[in-house]
Amino acid sequence: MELFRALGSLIEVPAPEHRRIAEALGLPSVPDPSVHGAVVASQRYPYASVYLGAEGMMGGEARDRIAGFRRALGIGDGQAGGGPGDAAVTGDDPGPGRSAGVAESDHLAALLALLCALDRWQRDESDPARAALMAEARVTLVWEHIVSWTGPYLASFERCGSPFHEAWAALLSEALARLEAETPFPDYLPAAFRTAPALADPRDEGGAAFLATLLAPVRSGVILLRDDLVRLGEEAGLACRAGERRYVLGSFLAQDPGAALQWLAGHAREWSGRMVGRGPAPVARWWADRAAESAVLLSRLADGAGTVVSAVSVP
Amino acid sequence: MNPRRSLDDLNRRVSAARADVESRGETFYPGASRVHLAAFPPKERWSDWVELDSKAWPERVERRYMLVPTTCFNCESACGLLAYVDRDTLEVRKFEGNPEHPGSRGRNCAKGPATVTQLTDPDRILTPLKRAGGRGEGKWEPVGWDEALDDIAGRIRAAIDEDRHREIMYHVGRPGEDGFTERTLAAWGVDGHNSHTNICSSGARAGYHLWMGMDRPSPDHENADVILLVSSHLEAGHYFNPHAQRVMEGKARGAKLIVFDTRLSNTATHADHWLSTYPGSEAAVLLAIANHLIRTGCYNAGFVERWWNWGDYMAENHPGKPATFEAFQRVLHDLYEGYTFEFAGAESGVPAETIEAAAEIVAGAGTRLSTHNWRSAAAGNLGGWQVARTLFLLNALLGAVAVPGGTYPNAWNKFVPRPIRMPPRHPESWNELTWPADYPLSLMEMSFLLPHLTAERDGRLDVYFTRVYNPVWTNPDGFSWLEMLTDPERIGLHVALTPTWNETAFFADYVLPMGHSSERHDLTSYEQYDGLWIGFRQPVLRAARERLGEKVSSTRDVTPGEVWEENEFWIELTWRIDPDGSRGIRRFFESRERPGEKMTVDEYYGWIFENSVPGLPERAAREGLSPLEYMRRYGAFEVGTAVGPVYEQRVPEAELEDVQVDAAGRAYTRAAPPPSPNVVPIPPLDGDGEGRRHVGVAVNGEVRRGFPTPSGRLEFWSRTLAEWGWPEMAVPGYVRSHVHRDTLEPGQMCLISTFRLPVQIHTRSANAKWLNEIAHTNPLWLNPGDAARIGVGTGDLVRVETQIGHFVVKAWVTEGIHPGVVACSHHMGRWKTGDGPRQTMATVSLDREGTDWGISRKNGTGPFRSDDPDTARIWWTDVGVHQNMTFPVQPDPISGAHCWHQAVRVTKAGPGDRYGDISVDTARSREAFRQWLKLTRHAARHSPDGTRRPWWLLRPVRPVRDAYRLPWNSSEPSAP
Ligand code: SF4
Repeated sequence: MELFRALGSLIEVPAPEHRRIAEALGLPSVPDPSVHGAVVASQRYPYASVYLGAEGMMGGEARDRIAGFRRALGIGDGQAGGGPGDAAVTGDDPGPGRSAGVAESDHLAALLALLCALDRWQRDESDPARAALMAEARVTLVWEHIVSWTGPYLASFERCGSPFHEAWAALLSEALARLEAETPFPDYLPAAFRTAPALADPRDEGGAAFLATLLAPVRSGVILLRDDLVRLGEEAGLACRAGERRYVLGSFLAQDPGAALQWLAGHAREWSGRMVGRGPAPVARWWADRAAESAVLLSRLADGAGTVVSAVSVP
Repeated sequence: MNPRRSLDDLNRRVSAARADVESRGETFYPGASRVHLAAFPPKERWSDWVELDSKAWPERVERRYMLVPTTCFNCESACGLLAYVDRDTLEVRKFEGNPEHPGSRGRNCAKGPATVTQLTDPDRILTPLKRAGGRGEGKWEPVGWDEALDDIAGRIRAAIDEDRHREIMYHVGRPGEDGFTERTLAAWGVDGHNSHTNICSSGARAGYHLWMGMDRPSPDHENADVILLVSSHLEAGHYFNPHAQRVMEGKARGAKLIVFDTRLSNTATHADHWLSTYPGSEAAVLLAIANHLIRTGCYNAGFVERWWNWGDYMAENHPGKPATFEAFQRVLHDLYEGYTFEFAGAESGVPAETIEAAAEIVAGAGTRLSTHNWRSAAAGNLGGWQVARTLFLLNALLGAVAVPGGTYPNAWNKFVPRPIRMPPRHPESWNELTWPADYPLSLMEMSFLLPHLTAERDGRLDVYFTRVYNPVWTNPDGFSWLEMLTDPERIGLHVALTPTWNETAFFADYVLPMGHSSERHDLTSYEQYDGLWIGFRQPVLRAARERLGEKVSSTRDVTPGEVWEENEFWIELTWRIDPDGSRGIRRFFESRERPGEKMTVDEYYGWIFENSVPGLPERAAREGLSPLEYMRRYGAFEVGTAVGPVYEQRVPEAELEDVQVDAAGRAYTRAAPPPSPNVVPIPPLDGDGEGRRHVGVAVNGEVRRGFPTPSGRLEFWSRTLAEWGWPEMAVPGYVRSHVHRDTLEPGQMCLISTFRLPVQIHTRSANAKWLNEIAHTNPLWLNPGDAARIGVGTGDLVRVETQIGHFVVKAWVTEGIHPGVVACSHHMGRWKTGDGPRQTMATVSLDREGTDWGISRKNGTGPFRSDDPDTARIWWTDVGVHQNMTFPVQPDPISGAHCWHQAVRVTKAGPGDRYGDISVDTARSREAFRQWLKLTRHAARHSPDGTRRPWWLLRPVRPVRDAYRLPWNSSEPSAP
């Protein structure tokens, strides 16, 4: 399990300590912090809430769910702010009921550190009933809060241009696949899937909701990186204005809604295909289906593009 | 390759790499850099840390730093700081938290990092100055340190030689250190310590002291199930940052937070239950909760029976009843049954159901109830000390005392290492100006009465030091202070030791520049959780240069301008007072290693760390460092954790020799006390009169440590109060405040003036530009109903009339204040008449006609050019209003604490009123002083043993026992 903790720590801002960890794992050399900034911090946000939350943003109900899970375990719920003495961050938790919270409990590093800690507590537990409880908690953590989003997340690192991050994502995928094979998952879908409605139809819910849900992976089934938007501009012959993703998307739709929507539909189709085999079968299927559903809506919208653009307010 | 094998292999490899790195004491996983504000450079890289210069953005300019720890000096929390010393320029570029500090754990409030702005303040004092004109005229000339030191030392020497010891006084705000200066005064044989405590925490501390012999609480918020705060502790309390982070951790674990606060403070907004109590009613509400616990049997009877002094109480107060615990339980029940939720609701204005809900939560806390009161209600009200006493009653009922999640006494969570030389001397005379016999039970010096006592009792001070303290501005009744400071008959020489200008320093004879937090040496230790730690404040540039191989023998070589390090200042002054050692004073500051030479700070602290801090030498040796090097490298050390319930500890056999146990269970022994490296103040308890010393209490046939109180137990009933004239106050009770609704005259309201602005810290932060930008004014909080009645809205001027004068301030209309109450923060309202700090001081004219004083504002602050381009960007002009000037002194007759809340009339400002106007008649101040003096019960009439003060009560620089004897015989006609 130390492997997970080590892999988790590597998605944080590069520090000199990472060199030793990467070496031990046989990964390429750790890149400069600016590469981390370009690849991770500004595009592939390593927070579960971004991928599982209906708003597609950090925090909110998705993070609260993880906080509640931690509270139920008797460890800090993540609302108090973390710090160096915060063992849950480091995975050195003294045990359930003893540790304080972390500020961002849904960060991939925190989740993997917790997985590692749960494994240790379970092994150290002498009471069989409590050990069984720990085992159950581990299954829940992995199912609800880790493999539910790491499939598409790690897929987004393919061809990201950073050899280190590509290798890191491949290794973590491999390790998770092994974990999945050993874990008896429940026969229902993770809660985040059950509560998230599909991509908003701008004709019913307006342009603002459409743009917002397009950028919320759990709604659209798709991850739209800044790099993807640059590609959209190049391939559809549209000017990519500088600004946040929602603004850029809005400006594409204002310039040529048909072309922009066509490109997005294609992107969703391609994304649906990429999900096959990514994570436990029901999870991978869910992501593939959701992206395919979005692709259908997007192509339909592309056909009647005029109505869409009037619904999307472009500054 | 078999993927299973390969992953297992990687797992093993990474585990082995981690074990290998950590076995060398290094860090394998980096800090949690994703967590905001929690990225700490690993300590093995503190000597050479590289960061990009944020100011150079967008260029990538690397800066190399040496990270040197010190301790924040901006409040008493003593949080750890890490100075980022630029290796190329040897300048401090910024401060962040020190993750090695056990109390603050790497975190700070805004005031910690703002220290850098205090260092670089263009208006700070860098040269010793001597008054050139009359006092307060604002004319100064530079003076050499030698001349100043010789002058001051000469006067002190003469006073000592002529037996005028009591004419020397050192007046301190927050000491920020553990005993160095007190020991200096003890070495001089001078009972001249004067502190600000009686305008601050002494009300609450008196309440705690009477219960458990120790005067501060150390609540274990982190492990509590219920946290009950009578204060706005999350943003402004004592030990604010260390406690606030633990309160939030407790909450994160599911603890319920109950807050008593008349205002909707930031703390109240975080509460599960916010009780907006009418000022002064807090004890009534706490007693209603206590009554609930007693009535429903939800208290820990086993603990109460074992640890309360109920036996003494029954014997003295109910001699006719059986001396059994059951009888006591019935008495206890009857004692508090009148404190119903309805009664408390009527007193406090909080609905009875809300109080009941809070009581239910407290009842469910078991022993995990952490409670805290510091200033707040205890500092505001007549009888405020009963707030702490009734609050701790809840802990005492539940047995939530020094157990996980409960409240500990401070002395068990504090470590004061024995210094290299401990002056055994005690002053032989008693200082009536600080410890008048009118207030025999005052917890600390009656500091704020000094102008009245010097005026009415012919008091004179020949040498008066104010040290990082500003009584003119901080204390009530500032104009009386001005009258005293400008009167050469009362103050011979006033020496202001301060890093920055303040309203008091303007009236000094010498202004001597002292260092800010990263330019001083001090040792600190505070009760912030169940553990013991020491923090080392050090001049960071000294430590940095030494690490680069330089030898620094005097800190002055690394401080800016002619700033002196304070320890070195006191050592030098002491040597000049006793140049040839004939007075027996100098020896306390002589080197042990080099007899006949001055002690250096390296020797002083090196000896302490080597000899008085258990575990530190071993810890340092593991890193190949000397203990001093270790502390200069890391800044803090945790001596121990999980101290637990010391009262339950069995006294070891070696300490039990010829033991006698008296009828009340107190145990006495002939064995000498074992030497302890921890010299934290503990009350001295009398022996049995036959040569045995108090050693503990006998419980079920075994001698346990118990509490350092006269009974050895928790004192529900205080024999001290009963015997010194206050029998009706001897058990926790409710005193109706001087601002109780029934006491107010028609049209009067209560003014709360005790709360802080979270980013300000009295006068210390006046030159911190970041803090001033955030908070620079103090409007009057006014409930919409009251505002409508008065006819004002937010921003309108109102006149606030007190007993002695008035001030004019802006209104802020808010639902966040209890109706019928107004509130104004005591921070802000700084002023100057001429040159002085330009960031937060208004320029005013100060006018006097006899006893009529006035201040009117000429202009506020504004942008100005200096070496710091930011000063040209000051965008605010308003700096608030100095309300404390208009408050009379209101000393509580028991605790001696100033009762800050004011009965005021608030009206719409008249045509002649201007913002910032202050007007006071000091003749009325004097009347108020006499009026409150009438409430006292003088020792001459009430002392049970002919002394001025109970011997066992804590007291700084304790004089010899003979000095405790009253000079009057109560039967003499001249007795007061
Ligand atoms: S609470 Fe703030 S001002 Fe006080 S010591 Fe800590 S950092 Fe400094």
